Amino acid sequence: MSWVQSKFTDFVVQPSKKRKFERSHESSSSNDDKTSNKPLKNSNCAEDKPKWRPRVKSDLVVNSKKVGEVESWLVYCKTREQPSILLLTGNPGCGKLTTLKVLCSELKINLIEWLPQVAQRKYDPEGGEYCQSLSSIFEEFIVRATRYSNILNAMSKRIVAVKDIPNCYLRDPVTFHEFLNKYARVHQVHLAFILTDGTKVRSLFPDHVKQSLNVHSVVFNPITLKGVKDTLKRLFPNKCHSYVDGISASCNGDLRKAITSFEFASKTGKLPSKKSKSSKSENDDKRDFLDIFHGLGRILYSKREKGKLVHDPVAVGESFFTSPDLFIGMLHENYLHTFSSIHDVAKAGDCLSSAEVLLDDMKDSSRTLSLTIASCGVMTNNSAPIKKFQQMNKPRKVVNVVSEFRARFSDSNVFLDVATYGRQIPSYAQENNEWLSRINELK
Amino acid sequence: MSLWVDKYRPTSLQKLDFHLSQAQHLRNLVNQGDFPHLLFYGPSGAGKKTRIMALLRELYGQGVERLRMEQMTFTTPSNKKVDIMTVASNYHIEVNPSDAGIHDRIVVMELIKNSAQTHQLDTSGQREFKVILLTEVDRLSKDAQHALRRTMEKYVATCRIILCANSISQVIPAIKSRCLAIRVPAPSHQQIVAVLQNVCKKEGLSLPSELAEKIAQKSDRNVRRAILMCETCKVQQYPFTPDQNVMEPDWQIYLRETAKIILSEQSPKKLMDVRKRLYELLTHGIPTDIIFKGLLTELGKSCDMALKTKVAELAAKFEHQMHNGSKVIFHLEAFVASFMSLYLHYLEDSVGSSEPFLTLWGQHRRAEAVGAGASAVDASKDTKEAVTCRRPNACRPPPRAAMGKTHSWLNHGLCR
Amino acid sequence: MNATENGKCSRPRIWNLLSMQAFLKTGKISKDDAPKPTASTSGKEKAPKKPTPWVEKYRPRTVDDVVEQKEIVSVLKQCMAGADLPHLLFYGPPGTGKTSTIIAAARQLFGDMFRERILELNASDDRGIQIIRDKVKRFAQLTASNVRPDGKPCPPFKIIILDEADSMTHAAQAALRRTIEKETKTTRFCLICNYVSCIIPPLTSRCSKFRFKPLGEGMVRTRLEMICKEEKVQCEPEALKMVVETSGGDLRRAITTFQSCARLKAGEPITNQDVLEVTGIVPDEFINEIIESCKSNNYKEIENCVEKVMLEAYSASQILEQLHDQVVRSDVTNDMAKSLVAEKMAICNHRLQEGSSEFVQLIDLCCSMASIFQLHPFC
Repeated sequence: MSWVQSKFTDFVVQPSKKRKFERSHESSSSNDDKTSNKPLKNSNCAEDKPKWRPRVKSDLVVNSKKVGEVESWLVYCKTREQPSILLLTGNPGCGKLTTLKVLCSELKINLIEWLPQVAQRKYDPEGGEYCQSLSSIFEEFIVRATRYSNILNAMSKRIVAVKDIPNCYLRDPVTFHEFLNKYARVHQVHLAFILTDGTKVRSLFPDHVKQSLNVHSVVFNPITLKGVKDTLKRLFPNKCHSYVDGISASCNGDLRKAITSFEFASKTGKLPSKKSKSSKSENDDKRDFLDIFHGLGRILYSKREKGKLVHDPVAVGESFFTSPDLFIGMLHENYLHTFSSIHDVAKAGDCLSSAEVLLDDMKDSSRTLSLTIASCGVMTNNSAPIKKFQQMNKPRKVVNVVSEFRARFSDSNVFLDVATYGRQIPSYAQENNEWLSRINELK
Repeated sequence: MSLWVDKYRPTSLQKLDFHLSQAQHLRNLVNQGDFPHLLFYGPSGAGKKTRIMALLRELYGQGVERLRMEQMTFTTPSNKKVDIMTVASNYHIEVNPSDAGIHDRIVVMELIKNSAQTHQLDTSGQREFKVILLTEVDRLSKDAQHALRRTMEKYVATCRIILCANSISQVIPAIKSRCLAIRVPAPSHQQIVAVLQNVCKKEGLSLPSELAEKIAQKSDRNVRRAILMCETCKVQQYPFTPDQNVMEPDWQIYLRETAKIILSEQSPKKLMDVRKRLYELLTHGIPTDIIFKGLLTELGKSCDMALKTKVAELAAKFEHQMHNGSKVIFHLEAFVASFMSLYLHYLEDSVGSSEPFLTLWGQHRRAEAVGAGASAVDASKDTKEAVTCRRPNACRPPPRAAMGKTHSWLNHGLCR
Repeated sequence: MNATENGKCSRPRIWNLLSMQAFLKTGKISKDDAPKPTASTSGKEKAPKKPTPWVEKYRPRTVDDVVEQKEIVSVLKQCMAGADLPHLLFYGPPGTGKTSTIIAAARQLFGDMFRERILELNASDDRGIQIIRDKVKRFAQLTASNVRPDGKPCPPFKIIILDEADSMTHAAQAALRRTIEKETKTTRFCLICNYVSCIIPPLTSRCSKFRFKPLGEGMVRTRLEMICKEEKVQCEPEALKMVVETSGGDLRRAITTFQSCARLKAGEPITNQDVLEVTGIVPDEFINEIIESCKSNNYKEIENCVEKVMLEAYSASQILEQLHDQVVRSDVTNDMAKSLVAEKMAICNHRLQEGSSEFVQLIDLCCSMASIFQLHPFC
C-alpha cells in the first residue's frame, strides 16, 4: 500500500523518511531558507541544483588560474567604460556560469542573465498578428539590459551573461557577427558568452572576430577527479562514501552530473551498509558511461579467454547508439594497428564498409545494425590482435582542397586536366598563380 | 595568355574538327522553328562543351560569347544559404548544380524558375526562349532529377534546357525521354592527331607525326588532355623531337605507384601507407571512379585471369557500396584490403600447396553473393549471427583483474 | 500570391494539361502551347508557325480510330451508346493508346466542350494526398449539365484522368477510394497505369479493367508509313524497319523517334545510322565484339573492348539490355550459363542504377561472363 500513498505525498504530506533526507541536505548547505519553506517539489530535478552552488570563491573547484583569469576580466570591466566581451567555453558541468556568478557576487557586479525564449506571437495593429523573431527578441533584451538599470542597484556595474545563444545565430553565424559589431559600437555593457565545447564555438567566434572585437576567451577544463570527489564529500558529509569513487570516475569531469547522480543514488540505493549492492550499481554506472576510448579498446584489442571473447561486442556497440558515426569512424581510423594478418583486415574492412553504408540510412534499426556489424566485424575477425599501445586518432576529415577552385570550371574533369597541366605551362601558371599554387603536389 | 585549349576552341558548328555529320544535324535543328531540350553525353574531353557553345552561337549569334561570372545564392527550406557560381550571357546561363551537394534539388528548381520568369533582356534576339545549361547532370541526385523533369515541363515556353553528362546510365529515364539525346563519342586517335597538327600549325610550330601519335596514345582519346599535353611538351622542349617525353597526369602516375605498393607487400602496415596515399588522392579531388578504375587496371596487370575476375568482382562490389555510403575511404580501403588478402593467398598458393585455392574461394564467394542477393549488407549479417551465437559466453561478467589491466593502458592512452 | 495562383488555375489548367501531356510524350511543345508568359507574348506572335508534335497530330480522333485494341473499343462503344461510362482502369505497356483512347472517348461524348469536362493529372503534378483531396474533389464537385452549348444532349458527368497512376503513393490511392464512391453521380474516374499490380485492390475493384496489348509490328509500320506520306519525309525502308523494331510495340516511341530523326535530317532521307543515333541503341557489332572478347577469356581483350565502348559513349545500361537479349536468344551456350549470366546482369544493372561506375561494372560483368562461358563450354 505504501506506493499508493507515496503518490500523493509530494503534494500533501511529506513522508517522514524523505523529509529527513531533505532536512539533512539543507542543513549541510547554509542559506537555503527560502526553498526549505516550500513544499518539496521534485527533489532530484536539476532545478534544485542551486542549493549546491558554491557561494564563495574558496568553494570553487575550478582551476584557480582560470578563476583568476575571469576575475581579472571582471575587475577590468569594473574600471573601464568601453564594452568588452568574455567568452567562456568548456565541457558541460565544469562550472562556467557558476564561476561567473560567484565572482560577480563577490565583486558586487550585477549579473543579468539572458533566459532562452521561444519566438512570440505579437499583435501589430497594422499588419495583424505576426511572429517576432528570436533574434529581435534577443537584441531587444540586450538593449534593455544595457540602457535601463535596475532602480535598486543603479550604481553597480552590470554584466550580461548569455548562455543559450538563440538558435537563429547558430544557424547563421554571420548575422551573429553583425550583431556583435553593432553591439560593440553602440552599447556600453560588458557581455559574457558561455558556450559548451563544440564546433559552434569556432563558427560563432572565428579568430578574426575574436581579434577585431577584442574577445577575451577562457577555456575551462573538466573538473579533476579529485575536485569532484572533494566536492561530493563536502556537500554530502554524512552520506555513504562508497559511491563517491564510482560516480566521480564515471562523470568525466562533469560536476553537475556527478552531483545529480550522487543525489539520485543516495535516494534510491537503500542503505549504504549493503556493500554488494553499491558495488553493483557502480558497475552498472561504468557500463552506462563507457567512454569512447574504453569502447574502442575493448573492440580493437579483442580479449579472449579460452577462445571466448571477454567483452560482448554487441553491448559495446550499442553503448554508442547516440554517436554511431564517431564510433565507427574512430574504429576505422584505428583498427589497422591492432591487426596482424591481412586476411583478417580484409574481413574486418568488408564489415566496416557495410556498416558505413548502413550508417547513411537514418533509421534507428540500421544504426544499431551498423554498430553491431562494425564492432562484431572488427572484434571477431581479429584472430591475433597486436597488443601494443597505439595512440588513438580521430577520424580524418577529407578536406577537398580543390573544391573552392573547382567552381571556375564547368566540369570536374576539365578542372582536373587544367590543374594538372596548367601548372606546367609557365604563362598560364603565372596568371593563375593564386589558385594553382594552393594545390600542392601529390605526396 | 590563355591556354591553347581555349585559344583554338572551335567557335561555330562549321569549324568543328570531327563528328561533322552530327554538326550538320545540329544546324538543321537550329534552323527549324522549334528546338527541343537536349542532352549531350559522352566521355570527358570528347568536345561536348565545345559543341554546346557552338550551338548556342548558332542560335543567338555572337552575343553568347559575352560571358559574365555571377554568384547566385539560394536559400534552402532549412534556411541554409547555398552559393553557386554561374556563367551567363544575355541568352543563356550555365550552372553545375552538383556543386550544391545535397541541396542540388533546390538549386535546379529555383534556377530554372528564376531564369524562366525573368524575360529576355535583349528583345531583338531572334528566339523567344532562353537556354539553361546544366553540366554534370549524371552527378545530380535522383531527387533533383525528378524536380528537373517537372520544372522542364512547367517552363517549356520560356526556356530550353541543355544537359551535359558523362554517361546517361545515371540519368533517369523520365529525363532521357524528354530530351533529344546527342551522343558525343570520343575522337579517334587519327582525329586527335589531326587536331594537334592543326593547333600546332596555327601556333607556327612543326609537330612530328610520331610525337602527335604518341600524345594521342597517352591522352585516352581525350582532346582536351591531348592539347594540354602538347602545350606542356612545347614548354619542356622545342623544337619537338619524335621521342620526346610526354607528361602523363601526375595522379595517374601516383595511382600506378600506389598499385605497385599494394603488390609489393600485403600486410596491415602496408595498408596504412596505402590509406595515406588514398587520402592524398581524395584531398586532391581526384574523382573516386578514376581511383577505382586506375587501381583495377593496374592491379589487374599482375594477376591471372581467374584472379582478375575476382578483383573485378571486388571492385564492382565496393565501388557500388561506396555510392550508397558517404565516407569514401571505408570502401576504397576495404577494396585494397580484400585485394591484398586475395593476392597473398594467390602467391602462397602458387608457391606452396597444389590445391587450387582460388576456385574454392570463388565458390564460397559466389554462394554468399547468391544467398545475399548481391547485397553485402546481408553478407555481413552472417558475422552478426555468428556473434550472437557466441554472445551468452561473452556476456559473463569479466574477471576483475582483467578489467583492471585493460583500464591501466586505457588511462595511459587518455593521459597522453 | 499563392491564393491568386490557385484561383486562376482551375480552368486554364485543364486546357494546359493537355498540351503539357503532348509535350510529355514528345519532349517538345505544340504550337498552341498554353502558358505564354506576359513578357514574350509580343515575340511569340512574330514567330513562325511551329510544327506540332506528330504524336499529337496523329492521335486518334474517335474511339474507332484506336488501332489493335478491338475488344476494348467494342466494350467502350457499347457503354457510350448508353451515354454512360463506368470507372475505368487502363493498363498496359507504354505507347499502346491508353491516354488516346480515353481522350477520344471524351471527345465523342462531349463534343467540343470535352476540354472542360476532363481533368488530367499525371505523375509530374504533385499528387500527394492533399492534391487528391483538394483538386480532385473540387473538380468533382462542379456540376455538369446534360446539354451541350449547341443544344445536343450529352452525359451529365465529368472525367478525371489519373495518368501514371502506379506512381501514386498508396496513401494517395487510399484517399481516392472514398472520393470515387462519393462523386460517382457527377464524375467518372479513369486510371491509367503500366502495372496494375501497383494499384491497391480496393481501387481496382471499383473500376472496370482493360488491358492494352503491345502493338504488332505491322500496325506500327502502317502507321509510320502513313505519317511518312503525310509529312513528306523520305525514309529508307531499312531505317523504317529499324524504328519499328526498336519501338517494341510502343507507338509513341516509334513516332517520337521518327520525328526526331526527321528534324535532325531536315529533308534528307533518314538512314539506319540516324535511327541508331537518336535511340541510343548500340550497333550490333559492338555487342558481338563484347561477347567475343568474353569468349576469348582474355582480360586484356575484355578491358580494351569495354574501354572502347565506353569511349564511344554508349550507355552501359543500354549495353546491358542488348547483351542480355543477345545472350539469352543465342544458342551458343546452355541454359545454365544463361541463367548465371542473367543473374550477374541483374546485379550489375542494379548497381548501375545506384550510380556505380560504368567501367568497373562492365568489366565485372564481362569477367564473370568469361568465367561462366569457360565453365559451360559452348555446345
